[in-house]
Amino acid sequence: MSRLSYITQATLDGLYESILEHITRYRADDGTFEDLRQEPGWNLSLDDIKIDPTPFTELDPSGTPMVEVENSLRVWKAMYEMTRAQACEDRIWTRLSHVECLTYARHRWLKEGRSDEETAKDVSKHFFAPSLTVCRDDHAIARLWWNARIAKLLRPDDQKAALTLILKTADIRSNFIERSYTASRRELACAILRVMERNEWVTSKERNYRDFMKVVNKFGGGMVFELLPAEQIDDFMDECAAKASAA
Amino acid sequence: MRLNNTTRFAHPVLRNDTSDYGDKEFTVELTTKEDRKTGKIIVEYVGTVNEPAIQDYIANDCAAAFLFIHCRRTYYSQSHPITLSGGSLDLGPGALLGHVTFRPIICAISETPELLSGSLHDEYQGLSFSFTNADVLAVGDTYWYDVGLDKLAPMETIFVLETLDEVDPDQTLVKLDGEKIAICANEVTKNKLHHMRNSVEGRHRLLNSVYLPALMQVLSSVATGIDEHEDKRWCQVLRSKATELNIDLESPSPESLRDAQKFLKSPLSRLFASEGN
Repeated sequence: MSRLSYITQATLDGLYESILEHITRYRADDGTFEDLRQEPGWNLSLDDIKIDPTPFTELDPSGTPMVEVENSLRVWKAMYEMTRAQACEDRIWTRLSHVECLTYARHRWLKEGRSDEETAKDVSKHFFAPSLTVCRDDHAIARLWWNARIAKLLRPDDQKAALTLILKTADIRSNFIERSYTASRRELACAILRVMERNEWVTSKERNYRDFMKVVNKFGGGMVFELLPAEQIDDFMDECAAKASAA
Repeated sequence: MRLNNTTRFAHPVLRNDTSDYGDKEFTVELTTKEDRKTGKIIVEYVGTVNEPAIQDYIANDCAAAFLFIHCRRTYYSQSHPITLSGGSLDLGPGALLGHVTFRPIICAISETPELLSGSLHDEYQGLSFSFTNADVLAVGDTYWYDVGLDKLAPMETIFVLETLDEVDPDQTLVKLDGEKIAICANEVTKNKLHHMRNSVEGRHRLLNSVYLPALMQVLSSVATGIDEHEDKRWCQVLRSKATELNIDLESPSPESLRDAQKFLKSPLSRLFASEGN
């Protein structure tokens, strides 16, 4: 186990403004930031958070849904001690994508045959995490941590099953995780996962899931799911699925 | 699917923006204490409800008060039972960050007897109501707090000067689609602006002639649709600072000039001071 490291804001700003200058470091198979990492702004650490960097070396860049599930679990295993507030911190994620996870981030998100400017755009999107959406949806490592965190919140005893449902397609992920008001309400979100499991129609096509969520939004307004028994919420979800499939 | 001020119910709900129960009120006073080192939040609360029918429901364990706390950035969303006579909640370190909403609600927690209230609005007269578990009976005003250090970030950290050749000479325009508010100018104008930064007086002139109107435009845009921007880094900082400065970014009648001057700490005064006036 080692301490969780992060970089200073000045180092982060410097990197962000120098993406094109460093484009070879990002793109080349042997590119690294190891020489820059010797500078003081690269090695701050959080004393109270320990991480196990071993799973970072096992990250698979192929990008299929099942691999995304496994990668999310690997990142969680490495960094489960981190709090949610810390997981919004750009300086932690930027350090990881430039040092410990640079090889994975490069192979997962930088495509061959793109111009320097196009690659620089990809770098700014997947190697930095300045805001909620970039952190949660785009940053090479942060998105995996947030997948796992939300799955843990919903299925503490079976994180993998929750991840498998949420990451079945990119569209389901975006419609589930990106709806913070839905995904963060545990009783509601758990019921959505349950209906996904027992009613194949809900996830059999991307459009079905979207239509289902529209009906849930339409009829769920003002319902205090937090106080309802699970069976009652399940009945509500079944009604919504029936309405969506009949439309 | 949010429970907010636009949510309407098919039964009377005690809230301050409707007259379902005449002039009766449900209020909860909140005080928030933040340990900036650990991120731990203590929320102290005390509430009152002066509608006798709802008081009776609570006294007879047919209803209870809750504080719904939601934090979009950390996916924290929980309902905490509260006692209206007062108490506190300990929201452990690291659970919250950025804009957090606190909404007090009274809900039925079991089958209730028929509602017997002398305060109901005329439109409910002659109708009979009873409630079941999770029905909303009262909604208090929402309270906001901003957790973390964004509220302390200097305003200049959310702006960036960018080159955009199609902008006319000595003109600027604002772009809001990035993580920072981009003030765009053509290369020559941008160089002039950079040059102005080299003196204190020049910086204050810039603040008044470029940043103040740019921020006014940003505030107008935010007032008409903050949802479009709220995931951007600049909007997170702006929202944090607005909470701290008691500025309502979503006011239906925004006063962009007044608020922009607040955000920029009275730029005209700063210019006068730098000129020795």
